[in-house]
Amino acid sequence: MVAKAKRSGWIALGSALVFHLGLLALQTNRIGSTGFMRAWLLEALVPGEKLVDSGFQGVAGVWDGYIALIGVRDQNQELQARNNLLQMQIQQQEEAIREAGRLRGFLGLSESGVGKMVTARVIGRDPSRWLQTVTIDKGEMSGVRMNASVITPDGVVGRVISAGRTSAVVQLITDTQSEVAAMLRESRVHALFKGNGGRDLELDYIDDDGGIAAGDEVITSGLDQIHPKGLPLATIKSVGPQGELFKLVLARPRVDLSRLEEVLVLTAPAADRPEPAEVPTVAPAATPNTPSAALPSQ
Amino acid sequence: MSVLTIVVIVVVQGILAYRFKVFRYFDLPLIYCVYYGFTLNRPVASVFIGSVLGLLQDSLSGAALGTNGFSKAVICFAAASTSLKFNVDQAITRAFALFLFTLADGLLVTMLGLTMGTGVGGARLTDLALSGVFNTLLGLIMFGLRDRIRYAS
Repeated sequence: MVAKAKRSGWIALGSALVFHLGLLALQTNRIGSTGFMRAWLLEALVPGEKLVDSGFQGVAGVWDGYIALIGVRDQNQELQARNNLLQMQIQQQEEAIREAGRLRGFLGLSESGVGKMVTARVIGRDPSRWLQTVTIDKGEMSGVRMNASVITPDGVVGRVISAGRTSAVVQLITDTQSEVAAMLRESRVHALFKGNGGRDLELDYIDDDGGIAAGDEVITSGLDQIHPKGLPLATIKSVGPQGELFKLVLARPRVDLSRLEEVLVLTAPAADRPEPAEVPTVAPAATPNTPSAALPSQ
Repeated sequence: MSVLTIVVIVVVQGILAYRFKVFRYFDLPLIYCVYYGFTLNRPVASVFIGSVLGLLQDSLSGAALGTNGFSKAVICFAAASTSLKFNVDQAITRAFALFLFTLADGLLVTMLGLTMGTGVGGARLTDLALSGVFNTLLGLIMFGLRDRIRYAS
Protein backbone atom coordinates (compact mmCIF):
# COMPACT_ATOMS: atom_id res chain seq x y z
CA MET A 1 0.00 0.00 0.00
CA VAL A 2 2.78 2.38 1.03
CA ALA A 3 4.88 1.32 -1.96
CA LYS A 4 1.98 1.98 -4.30
CA ALA A 5 1.40 5.41 -2.79
CA LYS A 6 5.10 6.16 -3.16
CA ARG A 7 5.17 5.06 -6.79
CA SER A 8 2.13 7.12 -7.73
CA GLY A 9 3.65 9.99 -5.75
CA TRP A 10 6.82 9.87 -7.80
CA ILE A 11 4.80 9.82 -11.01
CA ALA A 12 2.78 12.82 -9.82
CA LEU A 13 5.92 14.68 -8.82
CA GLY A 14 7.56 13.97 -12.18
CA SER A 15 4.48 15.17 -14.04
CA ALA A 16 4.26 18.32 -11.93
CA LEU A 17 7.93 19.15 -12.42
CA VAL A 18 7.70 18.61 -16.19
CA PHE A 19 4.63 20.87 -16.21
CA HIS A 20 6.39 23.64 -14.27
CA LEU A 21 9.58 23.36 -16.30
CA GLY A 22 7.44 23.56 -19.45
CA LEU A 23 5.83 26.71 -18.12
CA LEU A 24 9.24 28.20 -17.34
CA ALA A 25 10.55 27.25 -20.77
CA LEU A 26 7.60 28.98 -22.41
CA GLN A 27 8.50 32.20 -20.64
CA THR A 28 12.17 32.19 -21.50
CA ASN A 29 13.11 35.57 -22.93
CA ARG A 30 9.57 36.77 -22.30
CA ILE A 31 9.77 37.46 -18.58
CA GLY A 32 6.81 39.40 -17.26
CA SER A 33 4.61 38.88 -20.27
CA THR A 34 0.96 38.52 -19.40
CA GLY A 35 0.06 35.06 -20.59
CA PHE A 36 -3.53 33.90 -20.41
CA MET A 37 -2.69 31.69 -17.45
CA ARG A 38 -1.11 34.46 -15.40
CA ALA A 39 -3.99 36.82 -16.18
CA TRP A 40 -6.49 34.12 -15.24
CA LEU A 41 -4.76 33.34 -11.96
CA LEU A 42 -4.47 37.03 -11.15
CA GLU A 43 -8.17 37.54 -11.83
CA ALA A 44 -9.00 34.57 -9.62
CA LEU A 45 -6.94 35.85 -6.69
CA VAL A 46 -7.48 39.59 -6.70
CA PRO A 47 -11.18 39.60 -5.66
CA GLY A 48 -10.14 37.64 -2.57
CA GLU A 49 -7.26 40.01 -1.99
CA LYS A 50 -9.56 43.02 -2.25
CA LEU A 51 -12.00 41.38 0.18
CA VAL A 52 -9.32 40.63 2.77
CA ASP A 53 -7.82 44.08 2.30
CA SER A 54 -11.19 45.75 2.89
CA GLY A 55 -11.52 43.64 6.06
CA PHE A 56 -8.17 44.96 7.25
CA GLN A 57 -9.27 48.48 6.40
CA GLY A 58 -12.48 47.96 8.37
CA VAL A 59 -10.51 46.96 11.45
CA ALA A 60 -8.15 49.87 10.90
CA GLY A 61 -11.17 52.17 10.54
CA VAL A 62 -12.58 51.10 13.91
CA TRP A 63 -9.18 51.67 15.46
CA ASP A 64 -8.65 55.04 13.81
CA GLY A 65 -12.24 56.20 14.36
CA TYR A 66 -12.58 55.35 18.04
CA ILE A 67 -9.55 54.11 19.93
CA ALA A 68 -7.00 56.40 18.33
CA LEU A 69 -9.17 59.48 19.02
CA ILE A 70 -8.13 59.63 22.67
CA GLY A 71 -6.31 62.92 23.27
CA VAL A 72 -7.31 64.41 19.95
CA ARG A 73 -8.92 67.58 21.41
CA ASP A 74 -5.64 69.40 22.08
CA GLN A 75 -4.31 68.35 18.73
CA ASN A 76 -7.49 69.65 17.11
CA GLN A 77 -7.03 73.13 18.58
CA GLU A 78 -3.44 73.25 17.41
CA LEU A 79 -4.45 72.16 13.95
CA GLN A 80 -7.19 74.78 13.85
CA ALA A 81 -4.59 77.50 14.39
CA ARG A 82 -2.35 76.04 11.71
CA ASN A 83 -5.33 75.75 9.40
CA ASN A 84 -6.01 79.48 9.64
CA LEU A 85 -2.43 80.22 8.72
CA LEU A 86 -2.49 77.81 5.80
CA GLN A 87 -5.76 79.28 4.50
CA MET A 88 -4.00 82.60 4.08
CA GLN A 89 -1.11 80.96 2.27
CA ILE A 90 -3.48 79.08 -0.02
CA GLN A 91 -5.14 82.31 -1.10
CA GLN A 92 -1.75 83.67 -2.08
CA GLN A 93 -0.82 80.54 -3.96
CA GLU A 94 -4.10 80.26 -5.83
CA GLU A 95 -3.17 83.28 -7.88
CA ALA A 96 0.20 81.72 -8.68
CA ILE A 97 -1.51 78.52 -9.79
CA ARG A 98 -3.86 80.43 -12.06
CA GLU A 99 -0.87 82.13 -13.62
CA ALA A 100 0.85 78.78 -14.09
CA GLY A 101 -2.27 77.39 -15.77
CA ARG A 102 -2.24 80.23 -18.25
CA LEU A 103 1.44 79.69 -19.01
CA ARG A 104 0.90 75.96 -19.40
CA GLY A 105 -1.80 76.66 -21.92
CA PHE A 106 0.63 78.80 -23.87
CA LEU A 107 3.16 75.99 -23.89
CA GLY A 108 0.62 73.42 -25.09
CA LEU A 109 1.24 70.97 -22.28
CA SER A 110 -1.27 68.44 -21.04
CA GLU A 111 -2.95 69.13 -17.73
CA SER A 112 -0.43 67.26 -15.59
CA GLY A 113 2.57 67.68 -17.80
CA VAL A 114 3.35 63.99 -17.45
CA GLY A 115 0.47 62.43 -19.32
CA LYS A 116 -2.82 60.74 -18.65
CA MET A 117 -2.81 58.94 -15.34
CA VAL A 118 -5.06 56.72 -13.29
CA THR A 119 -4.99 56.47 -9.50
CA ALA A 120 -4.64 52.98 -8.08
CA ARG A 121 -4.56 51.57 -4.59
CA VAL A 122 -1.92 49.11 -3.44
CA ILE A 123 -3.66 45.96 -2.21
CA GLY A 124 -0.83 43.47 -1.77
CA ARG A 125 2.86 42.76 -1.82
CA ASP A 126 4.91 39.90 -3.28
CA PRO A 127 3.73 36.86 -1.33
CA SER A 128 6.86 34.84 -2.11
CA ARG A 129 9.38 37.26 -0.53
CA TRP A 130 11.80 36.95 -3.44
CA LEU A 131 10.74 39.89 -5.58
CA GLN A 132 9.91 43.48 -4.77
CA THR A 133 6.50 43.79 -6.33
CA VAL A 134 3.12 45.12 -5.27
CA THR A 135 -0.37 44.42 -6.55
CA ILE A 136 -2.62 47.36 -7.46
CA ASP A 137 -6.37 47.41 -7.90
CA LYS A 138 -6.43 48.81 -11.44
CA GLY A 139 -5.88 46.82 -14.62
CA GLU A 140 -6.45 46.85 -18.35
CA MET A 141 -10.05 48.03 -17.91
CA SER A 142 -8.66 51.27 -16.49
CA GLY A 143 -6.06 51.62 -19.22
CA VAL A 144 -3.16 50.07 -17.31
CA ARG A 145 -0.75 48.36 -19.69
CA MET A 146 2.50 46.42 -19.48
CA ASN A 147 5.54 48.62 -18.81
CA ALA A 148 3.39 51.56 -17.75
CA SER A 149 5.26 53.92 -15.45
CA VAL A 150 4.01 53.94 -11.85
CA ILE A 151 4.67 57.05 -9.79
CA THR A 152 3.55 59.02 -6.75
CA PRO A 153 3.71 62.78 -6.22
CA ASP A 154 7.13 62.16 -4.61
CA GLY A 155 8.70 60.31 -7.52
CA VAL A 156 9.04 57.05 -9.43
CA VAL A 157 7.69 53.83 -7.91
CA GLY A 158 8.21 51.26 -10.65
CA ARG A 159 6.65 49.78 -13.76
CA VAL A 160 3.78 47.42 -14.52
CA ILE A 161 5.05 43.93 -15.31
CA SER A 162 1.77 42.09 -15.42
CA ALA A 163 -1.72 43.44 -16.03
CA GLY A 164 -5.01 41.65 -15.57
CA ARG A 165 -8.43 43.13 -16.29
CA THR A 166 -8.93 44.73 -12.89
CA SER A 167 -5.51 44.46 -11.29
CA ALA A 168 -1.84 44.63 -12.09
CA VAL A 169 1.53 43.70 -10.63
CA VAL A 170 4.05 46.51 -10.27
CA GLN A 171 7.79 45.87 -10.12
CA LEU A 172 9.31 48.35 -7.67
CA ILE A 173 12.47 50.23 -8.66
CA THR A 174 14.35 48.50 -5.84
CA ASP A 175 13.72 45.03 -7.32
CA THR A 176 16.92 43.38 -8.52
CA GLN A 177 15.46 43.10 -12.04
CA SER A 178 14.56 46.77 -12.22
CA GLU A 179 16.68 49.18 -14.23
CA VAL A 180 15.84 52.83 -14.69
CA ALA A 181 17.56 55.16 -17.12
CA ALA A 182 18.35 58.30 -15.17
CA MET A 183 20.58 61.32 -14.97
CA LEU A 184 21.95 63.57 -12.30
CA ARG A 185 19.92 66.74 -12.05
CA GLU A 186 22.86 69.14 -11.76
CA SER A 187 25.66 67.56 -13.80
CA ARG A 188 23.27 66.08 -16.43
CA VAL A 189 25.39 62.91 -16.47
CA HIS A 190 23.38 59.91 -17.66
CA ALA A 191 23.33 56.73 -15.63
CA LEU A 192 21.52 53.42 -15.26
CA PHE A 193 20.18 52.67 -11.79
CA LYS A 194 19.46 49.12 -10.76
CA GLY A 195 17.54 47.89 -7.70
CA ASN A 196 19.61 46.03 -5.13
CA GLY A 197 16.76 44.02 -3.64
CA GLY A 198 16.89 46.08 -0.45
CA ARG A 199 15.94 49.69 0.13
CA ASP A 200 18.40 51.31 -2.29
CA LEU A 201 19.35 51.59 -5.93
CA GLU A 202 22.82 50.86 -7.28
CA LEU A 203 24.48 52.67 -10.09
CA ASP A 204 24.94 50.07 -12.80
CA TYR A 205 26.39 52.10 -15.64
CA ILE A 206 27.44 55.72 -15.98
CA ASP A 207 29.20 57.83 -18.59
CA ASP A 208 31.43 59.67 -16.17
CA ASP A 209 31.38 59.13 -12.39
CA GLY A 210 33.70 61.99 -11.55
CA GLY A 211 31.03 64.45 -10.53
CA ILE A 212 28.87 62.30 -8.29
CA ALA A 213 28.52 63.25 -4.65
CA ALA A 214 26.26 62.24 -1.82
CA GLY A 215 23.09 64.30 -1.81
CA ASP A 216 22.90 64.73 -5.59
CA GLU A 217 19.42 64.52 -7.03
CA VAL A 218 18.71 61.81 -9.60
CA ILE A 219 15.90 62.19 -12.11
CA THR A 220 14.64 59.98 -14.92
CA SER A 221 16.20 60.54 -18.33
CA GLY A 222 13.36 59.02 -20.35
CA LEU A 223 15.78 56.90 -22.37
CA ASP A 224 14.26 53.64 -21.12
CA GLN A 225 11.00 54.51 -22.91
CA ILE A 226 9.10 53.67 -19.71
CA HIS A 227 9.37 56.61 -17.35
CA PRO A 228 8.94 60.12 -18.73
CA LYS A 229 11.93 62.40 -18.53
CA GLY A 230 12.44 64.57 -15.47
CA LEU A 231 10.64 62.59 -12.77
CA PRO A 232 12.38 62.55 -9.38
CA LEU A 233 13.93 59.13 -8.83
CA ALA A 234 16.41 59.10 -5.97
CA THR A 235 19.02 60.93 -3.98
CA ILE A 236 22.64 59.78 -3.99
CA LYS A 237 23.26 58.22 -0.60
CA SER A 238 26.89 57.21 -0.77
CA VAL A 239 29.76 57.03 -3.24
CA GLY A 240 32.53 54.45 -2.96
CA PRO A 241 36.15 55.51 -2.31
CA GLN A 242 38.00 57.41 -5.03
CA GLY A 243 40.66 55.70 -7.15
CA GLU A 244 38.93 52.35 -7.43
CA LEU A 245 38.01 51.02 -10.84
CA PHE A 246 34.42 50.28 -9.88
CA LYS A 247 32.93 52.58 -7.29
CA LEU A 248 29.79 51.46 -5.53
CA VAL A 249 27.26 54.26 -5.75
CA LEU A 250 24.07 53.87 -3.74
CA ALA A 251 20.97 56.01 -4.09
CA ARG A 252 17.90 56.13 -1.86
CA PRO A 253 14.57 56.28 -3.75
CA ARG A 254 12.59 59.47 -3.28
CA VAL A 255 9.47 57.44 -2.56
CA ASP A 256 9.24 55.43 0.63
CA LEU A 257 8.37 52.15 -1.08
CA SER A 258 7.56 50.41 2.18
CA ARG A 259 4.66 52.76 2.85
CA LEU A 260 2.91 52.82 -0.49
CA GLU A 261 -0.83 53.33 -0.24
CA GLU A 262 -1.88 54.90 -3.51
CA VAL A 263 0.00 55.30 -6.77
CA LEU A 264 -0.50 56.90 -10.15
CA VAL A 265 -0.20 54.77 -13.26
CA LEU A 266 0.72 56.53 -16.47
CA THR A 267 -1.76 55.28 -19.05
CA ALA A 268 -0.85 57.66 -21.87
CA PRO A 269 2.46 59.50 -21.59
CA ALA A 270 2.71 63.05 -22.86
CA ALA A 271 4.50 63.27 -26.18
CA ASP A 272 7.38 65.34 -24.93
CA ARG A 273 7.56 66.52 -21.37
CA PRO A 274 9.90 69.34 -20.40
CA GLU A 275 11.74 68.72 -17.15
CA PRO A 276 10.53 70.64 -14.07
CA ALA A 277 12.74 73.60 -13.26
CA GLU A 278 13.02 73.62 -9.48
CA VAL A 279 10.60 71.58 -7.43
CA PRO A 280 10.98 67.88 -8.28
CA THR A 281 7.35 67.03 -7.70
CA VAL A 282 4.81 65.36 -9.93
CA ALA A 283 1.26 66.42 -9.25
CA PRO A 284 -1.64 64.01 -9.79
CA ALA A 285 -3.84 64.70 -12.79
CA ALA A 286 -6.78 65.61 -10.59
CA THR A 287 -4.96 68.33 -8.68
CA PRO A 288 -3.45 71.50 -10.04
CA ASN A 289 0.31 71.59 -10.48
CA THR A 290 2.63 73.88 -8.69
CA PRO A 291 3.81 76.55 -11.09
CA SER A 292 7.41 75.42 -10.92
CA ALA A 293 6.49 71.84 -11.75
CA ALA A 294 4.57 72.91 -14.79
CA LEU A 295 7.09 75.22 -16.32
CA PRO A 296 9.92 74.02 -18.53
CA SER A 297 13.46 74.61 -17.46
CA GLN A 298 14.10 77.18 -20.11
CA MET B 1 -12.64 23.57 1.10
CA SER B 2 -9.02 22.95 0.13
CA VAL B 3 -9.17 25.24 -2.88
CA LEU B 4 -10.64 28.02 -0.76
CA THR B 5 -7.99 27.42 1.92
CA ILE B 6 -5.22 27.62 -0.67
CA VAL B 7 -6.54 30.88 -2.11
CA VAL B 8 -6.99 32.36 1.37
CA ILE B 9 -3.45 31.38 2.40
CA VAL B 10 -1.84 33.02 -0.64
CA VAL B 11 -4.03 36.12 -0.38
CA VAL B 12 -3.46 36.52 3.35
CA GLN B 13 0.30 36.09 2.82
CA GLY B 14 0.23 38.88 0.23
CA ILE B 15 -1.83 41.22 2.41
CA LEU B 16 0.17 40.55 5.58
CA ALA B 17 3.47 41.03 3.75
CA TYR B 18 2.14 44.38 2.55
CA ARG B 19 0.74 45.50 5.90
CA PHE B 20 3.48 44.21 8.18
CA LYS B 21 7.11 44.20 7.08
CA VAL B 22 8.03 41.26 9.29
CA PHE B 23 5.67 39.00 7.36
CA ARG B 24 7.98 39.13 4.39
CA TYR B 25 10.08 36.61 6.29
CA PHE B 26 7.18 34.21 6.72
CA ASP B 27 5.96 31.87 4.05
CA LEU B 28 2.46 30.68 4.94
CA PRO B 29 2.10 28.61 1.75
CA LEU B 30 5.28 26.72 2.61
CA ILE B 31 4.08 26.05 6.17
CA TYR B 32 0.76 24.82 4.79
CA CYS B 33 2.63 22.60 2.32
CA VAL B 34 4.65 20.99 5.08
CA TYR B 35 1.66 20.59 7.37
CA TYR B 36 -0.47 19.09 4.61
CA GLY B 37 2.30 16.68 3.67
CA PHE B 38 2.90 15.65 7.28
CA THR B 39 -0.70 15.09 8.33
CA LEU B 40 -2.37 13.56 5.31
CA ASN B 41 0.48 11.32 4.08
CA ARG B 42 -0.75 11.55 0.49
CA PRO B 43 2.13 12.32 -1.86
CA VAL B 44 -0.03 12.72 -5.00
CA ALA B 45 -2.40 15.20 -3.39
CA SER B 46 0.57 16.96 -1.79
CA VAL B 47 2.25 17.48 -5.15
CA PHE B 48 -0.99 18.90 -6.54
CA ILE B 49 -1.52 21.23 -3.57
CA GLY B 50 2.11 22.40 -3.70
CA SER B 51 1.90 23.09 -7.42
CA VAL B 52 -1.28 25.14 -7.10
CA LEU B 53 0.02 27.10 -4.10
CA GLY B 54 3.24 27.90 -5.94
CA LEU B 55 1.48 28.94 -9.14
CA LEU B 56 -0.81 31.28 -7.22
CA GLN B 57 2.22 32.77 -5.46
CA ASP B 58 3.93 33.27 -8.80
CA SER B 59 0.91 34.98 -10.31
CA LEU B 60 0.71 37.50 -7.45
CA SER B 61 4.44 38.10 -7.22
CA GLY B 62 5.12 38.66 -10.91
CA ALA B 63 7.80 35.94 -10.87
CA ALA B 64 8.13 33.57 -13.82
CA LEU B 65 5.17 31.18 -13.61
CA GLY B 66 6.37 27.84 -12.36
CA THR B 67 9.22 29.02 -10.13
CA ASN B 68 7.40 28.63 -6.84
CA GLY B 69 5.17 25.94 -8.33
CA PHE B 70 8.23 23.78 -8.92
CA SER B 71 9.72 24.35 -5.48
CA LYS B 72 6.46 23.96 -3.56
CA ALA B 73 5.62 20.73 -5.43
CA VAL B 74 8.99 19.31 -4.42
CA ILE B 75 8.65 20.48 -0.80
CA CYS B 76 5.09 19.16 -0.46
CA PHE B 77 6.14 15.81 -1.89
CA ALA B 78 9.20 15.67 0.35
CA ALA B 79 7.05 16.43 3.41
CA ALA B 80 4.55 13.72 2.52
CA SER B 81 7.34 11.21 1.83
CA THR B 82 9.05 12.09 5.10
CA SER B 83 5.86 11.45 7.02
CA LEU B 84 5.65 7.95 5.50
CA LYS B 85 9.12 7.08 6.83
CA PHE B 86 9.50 9.05 10.04
CA ASN B 87 7.40 10.02 13.00
CA VAL B 88 6.68 13.69 12.42
CA ASP B 89 4.42 14.24 15.43
CA GLN B 90 7.27 15.42 17.63
CA ALA B 91 8.01 19.13 17.86
CA ILE B 92 11.75 18.70 17.34
CA THR B 93 11.22 16.75 14.11
CA ARG B 94 8.78 19.33 12.84
CA ALA B 95 11.09 22.20 13.71
CA PHE B 96 14.03 20.56 11.98
CA ALA B 97 11.93 19.74 8.90
CA LEU B 98 10.39 23.23 8.68
CA PHE B 99 13.80 24.87 8.83
CA LEU B 100 15.31 22.55 6.24
CA PHE B 101 12.32 22.82 3.92
CA THR B 102 12.49 26.63 4.08
CA LEU B 103 16.16 26.52 3.10
CA ALA B 104 15.44 24.00 0.35
CA ASP B 105 12.60 26.14 -0.99
CA GLY B 106 14.86 29.18 -0.99
CA LEU B 107 17.63 27.38 -2.79
CA LEU B 108 15.28 25.93 -5.41
CA VAL B 109 13.68 29.30 -6.11
CA THR B 110 17.12 30.92 -6.25
CA MET B 111 18.46 28.33 -8.68
CA LEU B 112 15.41 28.55 -10.93
CA GLY B 113 15.54 32.34 -10.77
CA LEU B 114 19.18 32.36 -11.80
CA THR B 115 18.49 29.88 -14.59
CA MET B 116 15.63 32.02 -15.86
CA GLY B 117 17.60 35.23 -15.40
CA THR B 118 14.90 36.74 -13.20
CA GLY B 119 17.41 37.62 -10.52
CA VAL B 120 15.29 36.32 -7.65
CA GLY B 121 18.51 34.81 -6.36
CA GLY B 122 19.25 38.18 -4.78
CA ALA B 123 18.07 36.92 -1.40
CA ARG B 124 20.79 37.02 1.20
CA LEU B 125 21.78 33.96 3.18
CA THR B 126 20.98 35.75 6.43
CA ASP B 127 17.48 36.55 5.16
CA LEU B 128 17.03 32.91 4.23
CA ALA B 129 18.18 31.74 7.67
CA LEU B 130 15.93 34.32 9.34
CA SER B 131 13.06 33.16 7.21
CA GLY B 132 13.82 29.59 8.26
CA VAL B 133 13.68 30.53 11.94
CA PHE B 134 10.46 32.53 11.56
CA ASN B 135 8.74 29.80 9.53
CA THR B 136 9.81 27.21 12.08
CA LEU B 137 8.39 29.19 14.99
CA LEU B 138 5.12 30.07 13.26
CA GLY B 139 4.82 26.56 11.87
CA LEU B 140 5.22 24.98 15.30
CA ILE B 141 2.54 27.27 16.73
CA MET B 142 0.15 26.56 13.84
CA PHE B 143 0.83 22.82 13.94
CA GLY B 144 0.21 22.80 17.70
CA LEU B 145 -3.07 24.69 17.40
CA ARG B 146 -4.25 22.49 14.57
CA ASP B 147 -3.36 19.35 16.52
CA ARG B 148 -5.36 20.54 19.51
CA ILE B 149 -8.39 21.21 17.35
CA ARG B 150 -8.01 17.86 15.63
CA TYR B 151 -7.65 15.87 18.82
CA ALA B 152 -10.49 17.74 20.50
CA SER B 153 -12.83 16.90 17.67
